[in-house]
Amino acid sequence: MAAYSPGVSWRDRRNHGLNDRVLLAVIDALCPHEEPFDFDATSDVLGELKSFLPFLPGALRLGLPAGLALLEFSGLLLPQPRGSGRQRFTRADRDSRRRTLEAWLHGGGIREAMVAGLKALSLLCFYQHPSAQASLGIDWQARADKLTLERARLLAAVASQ
Amino acid sequence: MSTGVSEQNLLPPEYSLAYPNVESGLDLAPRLSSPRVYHADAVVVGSGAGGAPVAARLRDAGLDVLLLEEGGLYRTADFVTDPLESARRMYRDAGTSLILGQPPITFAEGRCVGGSTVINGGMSWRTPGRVLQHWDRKLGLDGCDEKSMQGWFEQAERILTPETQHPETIGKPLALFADAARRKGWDPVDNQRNMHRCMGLNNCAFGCPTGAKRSMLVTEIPRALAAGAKLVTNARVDRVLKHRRRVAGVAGSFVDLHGRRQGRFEVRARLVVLAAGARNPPGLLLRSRLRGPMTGRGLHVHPNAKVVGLFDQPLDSWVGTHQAHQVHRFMDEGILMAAAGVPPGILAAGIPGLGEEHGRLMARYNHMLTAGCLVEDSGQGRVRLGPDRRPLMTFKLSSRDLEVLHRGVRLLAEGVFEAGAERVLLPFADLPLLESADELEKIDQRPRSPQGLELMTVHIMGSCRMAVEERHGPCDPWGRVRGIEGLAVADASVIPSPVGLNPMQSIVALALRNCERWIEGFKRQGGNGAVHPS
Repeated sequence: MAAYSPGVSWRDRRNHGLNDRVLLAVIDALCPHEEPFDFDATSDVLGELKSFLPFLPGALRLGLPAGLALLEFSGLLLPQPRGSGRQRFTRADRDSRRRTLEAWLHGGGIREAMVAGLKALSLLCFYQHPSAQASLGIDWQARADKLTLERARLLAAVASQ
Repeated sequence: MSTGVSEQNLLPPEYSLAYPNVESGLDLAPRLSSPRVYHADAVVVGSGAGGAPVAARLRDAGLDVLLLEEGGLYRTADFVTDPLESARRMYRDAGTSLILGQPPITFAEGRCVGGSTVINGGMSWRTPGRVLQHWDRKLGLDGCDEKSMQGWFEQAERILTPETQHPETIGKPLALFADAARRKGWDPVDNQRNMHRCMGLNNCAFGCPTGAKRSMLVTEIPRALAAGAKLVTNARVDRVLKHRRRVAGVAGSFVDLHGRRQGRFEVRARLVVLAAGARNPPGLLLRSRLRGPMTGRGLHVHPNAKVVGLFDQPLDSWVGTHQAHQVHRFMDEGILMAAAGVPPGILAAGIPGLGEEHGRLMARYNHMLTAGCLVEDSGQGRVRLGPDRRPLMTFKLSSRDLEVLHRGVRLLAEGVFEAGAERVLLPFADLPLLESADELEKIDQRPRSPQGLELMTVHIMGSCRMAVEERHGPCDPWGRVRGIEGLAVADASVIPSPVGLNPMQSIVALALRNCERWIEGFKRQGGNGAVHPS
């Protein structure tokens, strides 16, 4: 199984710093890839997720790079879940990365908080992606436009009576 | 429908509201070589449920009022349906705030003109009688009994204009839950929300583009501005200025969307009202060396847990309003329940599993019914200053809270199965799914551990509470900070104990009640005249 989603090329990988490469690998592991979500949104999700990072409370913002570095090298430094080899996170296959993230997610402490936060942000960005919304049959903006006009008509009718 | 009105550019009236007397700190900052200095009789810090009505009342009373807001001004026409964009613009920390503890609790509050009233669900309920009785009889807060508060609630309702939802706009999941609650004898009540002709879009949490929500953005703020109050946006207050034992104003920074400082300002005023949500006034007091023994202590958070029912039939879960009914039947036990419409991105964080496992569940989003319970907590939290000198919140669930949360989750799961769910997802990492109603007992059998419990909240309160004695709260029974003249608090910080339901109307009513006293005091002391900060 590929370590990255098909849309992220080796060139992209070389061009990303360590934080981005770990985040890409995290997003790729957290998000689904099968029908009806069989589209590539990993880079888009990374872009959206990174736009949230400057807003994080100070301690989280400063601690995240260290947390991502620990995640990257945890395969070499820490005992791993069954079935995961001793390798860097970004070089592990998707299933191994998921096992690592699951272990962190239920491990308590700061590691749990970091992966829970990354899960929340990644999945928020993924399921609000236009392709995911289309897969779910959702068009919130069109409904907003329709209901705004309907309310305007309703109030205008009341006012004209 | 033909109205006889031209439909060209037809928009709801909220689109044409005027916002005069507004200055953006971001526009000013590049031109400043020294701090900008404002003079006013009163400065109100925060423009939400407490700050906006107070600013309007102070202006009505003839005071020269300056309203400061850390966020930007987003008008009805600016609202979008993209939660990501909305969170970045209008939420503090873009919605990533946490209350630290076991478990950590996710927390969201507004940071925009109108504050959290712009991004809340609009639930508008009077403080329950038993809570008012507790404040009056047990805590000795005169003027907080039901009879005395009646007039303040009526005034709050004239601002909030609560309505119930039109049945055609409710949506299938919420209707199913209400029917199930009726069958179980829980007597669900129609939700009171501050709205006018809500169309059921369910964009409440990201600003209402239909204009239906009666947030402070479309009520008290334009009213105060039209009457002559001044509003400065992107202005974060860093500390309170004082001279001896009297307040002299505030000092702060103009900040961009990320909170980065772009320039400085000072406001000289004889009356300073802090109304920036229950996390911020204690932080400001602590940073300003105005610490009392209870400043920041006594934080309550109304922890919320949710369950998600998975149905065989499609429910079109994205269609319909945010919340249409509440179950008040168990409020004496500290449990308030409601079904709610939740967008997929927001819901996703609480769905178990990763990757394909998660995707298979989320693919059934339109077959989901989400219901939540709010717990009137008895644990105690605290706001203190973090390493970056910003307010940091902590909260520890009490054993009673854990018991009540489990009871609430059990009731929710019962209700959702009664509504016809095939399976129910739970907020427990170690018990994520019930395959049938026969498994409900597993909730009762779960150890009452906070570990693996997924909680969130949008209600925090009590961090600068009103109390008769200083050892119980830093504010006196009229919201005035002890030990310094001319400084008051007008947000959820002053609420003396958790209210057990949505606190917006409690905040408005208490702010109006207390504001009258501040106006009397201001006039008694001779009104205008600058105080120079030491």
